[in-house]
Amino acid sequence: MDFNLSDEERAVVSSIDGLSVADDVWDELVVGGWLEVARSELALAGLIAERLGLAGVALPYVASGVVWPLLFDSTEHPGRVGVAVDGICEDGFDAQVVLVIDGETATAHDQFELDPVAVLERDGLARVVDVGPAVMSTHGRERVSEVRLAAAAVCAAEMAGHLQRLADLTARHVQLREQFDRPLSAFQVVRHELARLHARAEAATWLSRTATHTLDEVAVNAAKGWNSQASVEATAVAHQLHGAIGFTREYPLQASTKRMRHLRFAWGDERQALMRVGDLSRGTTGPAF
Amino acid sequence: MRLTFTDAQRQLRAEAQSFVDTQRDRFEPQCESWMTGFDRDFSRELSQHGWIGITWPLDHGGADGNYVDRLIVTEVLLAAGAPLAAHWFVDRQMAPAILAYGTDEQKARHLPEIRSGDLTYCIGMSEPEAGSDLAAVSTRAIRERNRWRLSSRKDWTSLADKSDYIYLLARTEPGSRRHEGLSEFIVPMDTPGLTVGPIEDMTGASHFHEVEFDDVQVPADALVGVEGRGWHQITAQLAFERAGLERLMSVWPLLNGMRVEAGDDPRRLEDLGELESRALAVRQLIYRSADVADRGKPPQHEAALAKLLGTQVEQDIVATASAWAGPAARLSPAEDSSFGRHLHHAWLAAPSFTIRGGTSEIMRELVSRDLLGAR
Repeated sequence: MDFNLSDEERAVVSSIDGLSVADDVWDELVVGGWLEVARSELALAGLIAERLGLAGVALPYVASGVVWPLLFDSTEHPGRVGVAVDGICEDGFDAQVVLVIDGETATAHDQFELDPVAVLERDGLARVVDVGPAVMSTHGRERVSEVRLAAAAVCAAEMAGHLQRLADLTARHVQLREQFDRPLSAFQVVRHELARLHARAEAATWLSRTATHTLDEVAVNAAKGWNSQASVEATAVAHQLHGAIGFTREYPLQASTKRMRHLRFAWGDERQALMRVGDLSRGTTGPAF
Repeated sequence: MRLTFTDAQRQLRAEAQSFVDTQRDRFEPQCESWMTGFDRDFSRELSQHGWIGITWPLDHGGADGNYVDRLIVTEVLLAAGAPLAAHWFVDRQMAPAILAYGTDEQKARHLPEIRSGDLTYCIGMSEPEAGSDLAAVSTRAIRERNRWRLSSRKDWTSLADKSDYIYLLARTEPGSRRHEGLSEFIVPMDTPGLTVGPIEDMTGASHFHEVEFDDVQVPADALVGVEGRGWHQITAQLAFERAGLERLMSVWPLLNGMRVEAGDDPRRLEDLGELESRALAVRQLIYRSADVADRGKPPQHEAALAKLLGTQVEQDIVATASAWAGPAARLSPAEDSSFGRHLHHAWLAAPSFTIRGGTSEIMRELVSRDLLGAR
């Protein structure tokens, strides 16, 4: 085992961190070929999603950079992709192509009508009103399931990035903000809550990295399920330690709070994921993974 | 990154599993087997396979392996609830300390018998007035020509009654404060003036002891490492104490029981899935700590994180199992089933999980100090 980033992984991190501050991050991702990475190595796609989360960038990376290239491995990338499951389209806003996925088939449509229903900024949810004829399709329950598993793993990685962001923002805030003539970090209760937040971010990070490295069903469901649970607790702690400033639109905390609320329920909700882990654990005696 | 085992590591794990499978008749799986499962013959058997001293260099009888290898073997043993207490402490932290700081003579005297599973050590750190605040130790060691005279008392010393040696922290510089003037010693338990008394814990067991030093005299070469540098030396040992899988897997036999008791109940499967997910996250953090150690750095921050989360998972395993068992657990004898037996013991032992080896409050303090100091 090796928990250090390889040279290649460091290079990816450095590139994504660089383009995350660009005016149009999406164009940079497309031009740089970053939407194709999942085809060759899912773990790198996970790392990209993690860094985008850490930067607070909300883009349809899972649909466009994971689901599309894994389903259609020999075609030119169509741009922004929305993925519709059970009539609800993830990342539907501004989608250029909509993928409709059922149990064993995925079909791509370049003509469609969506009804935006998003209630949170940047969640991109839309109802599918109508789709035209499929321009491409993939069949096979196993393949579709595997792609959905990969999407859940990378989604968990994006959540881990946002959790790291929460921990970083909060650590900075409690050192800068002074109350009672001293920084908030001088209070033990504040430091201990910060430790709790950081511990969750670290656990989420290694869980999702394990998921994207192995695509093991236990690891992926554990990452998606637990990172979702952790997001609830972590956002509560981060907001509490920030006080009123974290509640404002101008401060960056709210963007991650909203994004995680959306990701928590994307690609399978936490109860289903955790139940699946429990199911797969039955009768084992070692680590379930 | 490579977050899976190599082929060689898979083979090591398979060998350890195969060994455990052949030993099933020999022990009854138990929770906290690393602390309460004392079977010196079993330890000697592990030694025969080269699984004590895995990380030691070859010229000291070790396997020249790494900390990840050690975790691979201990993971299999802990999952089975195998008896490991006879060699656990010494293999985990004293032997690495002797290798790092001991003289050639000390290495030659202690390591062969540790390696063969014939020696048990206990840890002489805590005192009546020095628990979480370990730097408050007041045990005095006064040098007189070619010997040291030790006075005071150590508390909460697990396995003191079965140990051959105590590895202790004492103040060698009179008037020194806190982290200064501390030194480490290895003292034979049969030294005149040293007495051991049991402390019964709430499970009814007495692996805790108080160890009294009434002008105990030991030769000068009982000192380990550099006089006055004990705190520096001990910092790395504490990381190893916190970074092991025993901070996650103390109640693994109970979790194995839950994996059966869950049945098809959706609520129980969700409960189980949550615990398994958290356990997997902590397992990876513990392996990361070992990876850091293998790169030559004491994994202090990583270990504190892993212990903080791992011991909470252990307590939550017990709480969930207890909820599943419901009021019936009060009525049926614990001996009725292995699940009931493990639950009975684990429920009584659970409060100690987030205390021993450094409380969760200390872990949070260490973690936050690193975070804030780094910014």
